[in-house]
Amino acid sequence: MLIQSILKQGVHMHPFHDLSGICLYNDNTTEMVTLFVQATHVERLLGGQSPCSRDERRMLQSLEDKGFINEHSLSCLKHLS
Amino acid sequence: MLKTFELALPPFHFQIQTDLPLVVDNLKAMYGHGLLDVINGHTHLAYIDYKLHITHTNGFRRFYKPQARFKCDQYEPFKPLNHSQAFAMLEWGMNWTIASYEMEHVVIHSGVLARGDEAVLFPAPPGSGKSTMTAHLAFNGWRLLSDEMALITPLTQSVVPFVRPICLKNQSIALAKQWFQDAAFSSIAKDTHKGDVVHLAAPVHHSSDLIRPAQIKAIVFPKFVANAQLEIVQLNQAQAMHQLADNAFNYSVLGDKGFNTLIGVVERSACFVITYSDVQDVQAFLEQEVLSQANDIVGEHYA
Amino acid sequence: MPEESVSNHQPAIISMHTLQHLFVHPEDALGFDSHTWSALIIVLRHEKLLARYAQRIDVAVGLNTLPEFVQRHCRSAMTLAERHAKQVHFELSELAELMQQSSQTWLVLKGAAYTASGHAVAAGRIYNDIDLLVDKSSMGSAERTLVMNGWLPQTIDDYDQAYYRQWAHEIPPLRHGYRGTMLDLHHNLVPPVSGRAPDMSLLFEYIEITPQQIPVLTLPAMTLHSAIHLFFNEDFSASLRDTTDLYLLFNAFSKDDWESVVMLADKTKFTTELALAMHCVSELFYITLTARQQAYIEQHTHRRQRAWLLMALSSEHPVIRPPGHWRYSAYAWLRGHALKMPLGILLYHLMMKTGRAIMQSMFGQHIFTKQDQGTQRVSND
Repeated sequence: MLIQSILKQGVHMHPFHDLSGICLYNDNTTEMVTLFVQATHVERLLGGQSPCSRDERRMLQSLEDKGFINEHSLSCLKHLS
Repeated sequence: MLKTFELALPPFHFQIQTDLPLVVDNLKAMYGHGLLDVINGHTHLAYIDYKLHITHTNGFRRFYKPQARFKCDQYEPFKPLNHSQAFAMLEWGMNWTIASYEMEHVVIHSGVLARGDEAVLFPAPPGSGKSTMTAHLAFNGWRLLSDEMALITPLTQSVVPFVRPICLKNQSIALAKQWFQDAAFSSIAKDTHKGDVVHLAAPVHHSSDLIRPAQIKAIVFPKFVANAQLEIVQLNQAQAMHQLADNAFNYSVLGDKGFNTLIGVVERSACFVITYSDVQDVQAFLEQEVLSQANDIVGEHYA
Repeated sequence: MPEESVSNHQPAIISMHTLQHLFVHPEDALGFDSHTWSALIIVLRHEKLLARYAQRIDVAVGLNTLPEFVQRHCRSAMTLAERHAKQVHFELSELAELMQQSSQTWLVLKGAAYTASGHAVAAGRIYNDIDLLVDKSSMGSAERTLVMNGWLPQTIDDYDQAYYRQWAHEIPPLRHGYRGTMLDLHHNLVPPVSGRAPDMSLLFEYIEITPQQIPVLTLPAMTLHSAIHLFFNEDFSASLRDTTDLYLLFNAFSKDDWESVVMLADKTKFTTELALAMHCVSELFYITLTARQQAYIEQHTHRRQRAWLLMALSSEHPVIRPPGHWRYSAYAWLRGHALKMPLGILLYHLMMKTGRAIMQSMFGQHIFTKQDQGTQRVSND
């Protein structure tokens, strides 16, 4: 799943050129968040290809709570067993 | 008596009204001939951007622990302070005014110094020694664009000078007075929320220093630790963005334009956290490793 | 360095007339010199009108015809206003969900409704807060739902708390936990204690839904509320902006809208407020009234009342304020209070406020404020 497909309307994403992470900007709330992981990693988590650690799950949940990504887009997360 | 001044401080023109002799004396010491007396309504500047007032408070307080109040036009953003702090309050009021109303630039809480036209941003919280570093570089071959506010032209790396006195705190005051014996210092504002504060007049070598933009090449987050060895940690872009955004005043108002400006600056700059105890180490590192050699010719500014 | 060094004896004098004229004839912006502009920008910013004027001038002649520093201030103000509008659209879309869950009938009022409606009155409008109205029976559940979703009551002193709960038509303002947006929740247009609160079911017939699914009043009802808000109120500090709102609202009227607003004013017994709004807008912005409109104004207002209120609408800014203006604003203030509360309550309310005012004038304005170090630093709020 491409990360762009779950971003809420008004949310901009920038992957840094040095591959150090991505930055999301929510123009609705003017909040900005920097993630120290690459977009492909987030996409693997969302697509269920990678298991999700507790911290990663918390990070994604807070993106949802703060209106960066659509509700219910975390349904396919695979828990770290 | 209420006195009126005009202050040409590119890129802005201020009108300042005050009935505090302490403010008048400090304004004259800090801004020299940029400060223009308005006598009998004779104005000098073609226009005024912001009208500021710094005056005594009314009422009995005027006689018992007198206080000073700052207003930008009719609006009073701060609570009054002890009148001995009035000049520092005016300086902070100018910062507040620009941070609140200026949307033509992305404004970052940061020192800005340039060698030739290559600029380094020093965004840093109080206590990091940022102003000591600013003062050292400004008197040692670098050009001061600002001690507190970087005005970045949106969607570029270009930073516009807003040359203001350097705000020194606590222990750095004695150090600076020893380093720069010929420089002009303001009177001391004691026990402010930043501790004791003194302003140091910016060294201006050419009149073009006040208006010539510079291109951001590096972002340095300085950290002063007494007796520490120089330690330089390069930040990746995500880390640099994270730290820079904490210091940005108005990117949220500018929206995606502000966001893209910060991204552009971070991606085209070398970014470091530098732990230091000797400002000369930092200067040497920046000049030898970070900025281009071509700029060595700016030695003409050496104090 | 100053770009040009000129010596000028006379600081620019601008008058209320300058503001009125420029609003109606933005094309005449080309004729002002830099001194006049310096004063105009400061006054317009103070009146929360800089973005609105900038927008009108931009449409009329283009901002790039103005001196460079004027363009700079105009663009900054427009950037801020755009951010306000964006934020209002976003907050309303979030609030719509909460209000639908918790209230039978709800709608957006005043500034936020202007923006949501997309009418001309949205242009360059800036806000302090968002105003929502719910039917009285839903007040409790709406408030609970909002609080549970991060809209938290503000700390206000006990006297104000008691005032709101006992007498007002709204609850104390709510503030969104991390976005900081302010929200006022009302159940009537005016406080019921005034004895003039209209039967809200009358107003509820004048609700329309915007394309973004936000309920607002229809243009005529929105206009009547704007008039009530301005003339049934003690606070004239944004009155010039509110009068330009009324101008833009009236300006968008069709013939049917005129019939509709007169009928609604009649039903809700706010004919005086409507007549005052028509009078003040026509006087301030040089609009010729029809004989019927003129007759309506004369029927529902007194000559002296019209004259004094018109004066009270003038800018309070020291650059503008004519000598003796305080008398008119004191009149407007007293009138606003008298309208909302019976006399016994009025005395109580005035006494509490005035007591504090006198203490402040004796000991300096700020002796009562808590020492707040946080406000001394540079902040962008």
